[in-house]
Amino acid sequence: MTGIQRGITLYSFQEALYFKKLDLEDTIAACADMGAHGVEIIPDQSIREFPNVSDAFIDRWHGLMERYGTEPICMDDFVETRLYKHRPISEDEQLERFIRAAKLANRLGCRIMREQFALGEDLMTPHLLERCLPFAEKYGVIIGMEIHAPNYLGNPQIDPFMEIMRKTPFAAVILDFSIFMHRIPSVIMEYYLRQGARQEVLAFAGKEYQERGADPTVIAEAEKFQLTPIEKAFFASQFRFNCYIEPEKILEYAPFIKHYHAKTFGTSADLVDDCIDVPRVIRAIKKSGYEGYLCTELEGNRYVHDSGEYDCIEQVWRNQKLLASLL
Amino acid sequence: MDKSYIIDPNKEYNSRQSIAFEGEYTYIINNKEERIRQVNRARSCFEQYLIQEDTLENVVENGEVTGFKVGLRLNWYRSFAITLIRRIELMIDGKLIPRESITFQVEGSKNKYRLDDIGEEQAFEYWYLNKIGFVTIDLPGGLSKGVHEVEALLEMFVTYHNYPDVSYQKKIMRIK
Repeated sequence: MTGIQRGITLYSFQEALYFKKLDLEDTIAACADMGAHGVEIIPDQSIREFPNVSDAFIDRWHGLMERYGTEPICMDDFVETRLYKHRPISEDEQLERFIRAAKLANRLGCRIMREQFALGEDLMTPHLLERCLPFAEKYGVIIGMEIHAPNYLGNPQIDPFMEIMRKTPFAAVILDFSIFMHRIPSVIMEYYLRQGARQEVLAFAGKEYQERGADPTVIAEAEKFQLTPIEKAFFASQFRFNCYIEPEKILEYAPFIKHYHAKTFGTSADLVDDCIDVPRVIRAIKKSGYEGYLCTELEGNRYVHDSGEYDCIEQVWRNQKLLASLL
Repeated sequence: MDKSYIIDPNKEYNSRQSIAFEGEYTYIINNKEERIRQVNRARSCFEQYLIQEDTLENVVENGEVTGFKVGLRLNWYRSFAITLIRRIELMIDGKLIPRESITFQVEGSKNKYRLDDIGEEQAFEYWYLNKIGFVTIDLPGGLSKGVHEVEALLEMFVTYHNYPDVSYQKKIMRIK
């Protein structure tokens, strides 16, 4: 493989799976139809028999890849922390679960597996990451630590992880475009409007975000509107969990980035992303010399279930067309 | 930009803390203010589909109506280990159903559990994304034929959230 390739994470088709409109084969066929040859999978979303995945399933999976001319790229794993009610999960148990997941990634043929940073929480800590490395090597899979808003490139909290990545090729960064969000997505604004948030309150938020990014001091300033519970929830989520940084920051981390999530909250019919400057991000990625996949990760579907049906295929396709036009 | 808030956004729980209920169990489905606060706190998804259409029916065992059941759907985009279920609460026609009289069973699974009996051994039992979670309620004689107001609340622990995700729905349903 050379250059930058297009892929899709099956996460993007979540409601089609939830409502049984598409099955696993349909989603892979959809990727192939769109010319996206890389497939990323969340096993507990797309594999009905998870966590006990049979050899028959694995055979079927590779058969589907062959039939549709696609290849497995990334498997998304989740570090559970609150699996047991009466006690916290131990690090040994987290390691055991990682090994289970790494074996599955290997069987699925994925070369990278997504893990989540522990930032004040006990997800993947640097200590656990070090303990996972020998097993990543054993099963031939890179541990991809996903940088996703509100985490960001340049965050000093990720430095201990970067230290580890300097020492081994089996730990790397997966970068999610969510860190380049320059405005609050329209689907989110519209969702909160339907849920009863006032237009003037949302307009204030939209304007402040565009000027100052996800600055949490806006939350206190918004109190002047005497916020309702739904408006409070809106400010708490949008000004704590979003992020905007300059896409050119990619260049500083280039050697460590081994996979991308091309996050999108929606793309217009004329192929303009709603809240991410995709052309600028792609220019930075190209300049960084990256070779590998960009997987479309459609997030817009999370905010539309109260308003009727949503065409996730069309939205994924628009993002793919946009990426194709820039690559 | 100050990002120090990443670590602690008004955290009510942390991942090294037990999530067991301490002392007497406090319901939230019948406490409107607390319920709204918790539903708004984390934004789950698919909450509009929490109660599955056309699933309300009486349960007959050995020729006797022993209770009724209703189907729930997950409020997240992934499947869950059933140990991550923290609360299932129900109200029927405005009447609270005691936690002890609820049994949970994933569609197609042989295993049925009282909520408090779901323990560590169930950590690898999954409630798959597009399956129904059936909730059976002990009620000799069951529900009367006709229309009932069903309220359901589901609280799950999503691994990377700082607090549980609570979803609530009220639906008018007909007993078949």
